[in-house]
Amino acid sequence: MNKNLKLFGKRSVGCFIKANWHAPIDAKWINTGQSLCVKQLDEFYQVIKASDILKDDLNRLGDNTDYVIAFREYVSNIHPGSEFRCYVKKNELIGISSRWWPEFFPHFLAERSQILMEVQRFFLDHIQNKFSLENCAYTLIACSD
Amino acid sequence: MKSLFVFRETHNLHWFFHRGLGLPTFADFPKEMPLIMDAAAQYHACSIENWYEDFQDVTLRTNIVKIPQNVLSYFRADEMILPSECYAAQAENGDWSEDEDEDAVQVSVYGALWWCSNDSNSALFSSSLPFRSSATL
Repeated sequence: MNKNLKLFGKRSVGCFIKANWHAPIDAKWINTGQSLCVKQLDEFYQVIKASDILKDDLNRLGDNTDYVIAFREYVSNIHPGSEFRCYVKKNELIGISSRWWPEFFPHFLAERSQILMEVQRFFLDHIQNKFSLENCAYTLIACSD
Repeated sequence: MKSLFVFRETHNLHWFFHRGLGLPTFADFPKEMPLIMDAAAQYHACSIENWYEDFQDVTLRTNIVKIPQNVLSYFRADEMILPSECYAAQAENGDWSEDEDEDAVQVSVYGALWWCSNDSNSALFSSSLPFRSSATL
């Protein structure tokens, strides 16, 4: 009956939701577990209605734009120290920072060269010249394997 | 770096005076390509529906659903009223107890119906369905 419900049923782990550009991180508090994991329909509506970030997104470009909701696979326990924001200018990687930049994580220092190498390799393999803008920023999540 | 260097060398005051051109005006300086060119186009490019296909091998699996116009206006509104479907879903799950049931407010403003097939549409637009309001959450 309901495409949306079916989608939730298919994935018992739940999902992140996101509008065209942003995830509703300001609505984290509203659901049980204080996470952005959405499993049921009421959680889904609550998160959307509680989030100003999402509302900004849905008002951003006037009515002619196609607004979407993206249901993304939920990944639990992403370590904040494993998220890196990368900056690209003219299709060249010019900088890397922590996603949560004022925070310091000891492994940044210990694994500095390895992090730099992996991020650069990922950029060359998967990002460079593939995005339609030559200047952009993107965020990476480092996995253990 | 190289272009910056050239820019400085060729457009210093000395160079203009030397050729008897007088003081340079703004028009004499080549325009740097602005970093932000067209905000709308950039937003368009960064919208997930437009980049997901190019990067789906390296990002989280995602289903993207277009928001119909009536639902969009429901999302944009400030009131926090959940559609009756949620109520039904909770009743099925059994964590919506009888006591709370009495607090449920009846509102008939939105028939916020989502990607529903036709059979359920008429029911959801009818006037006496229980919606939950923020007061009862």
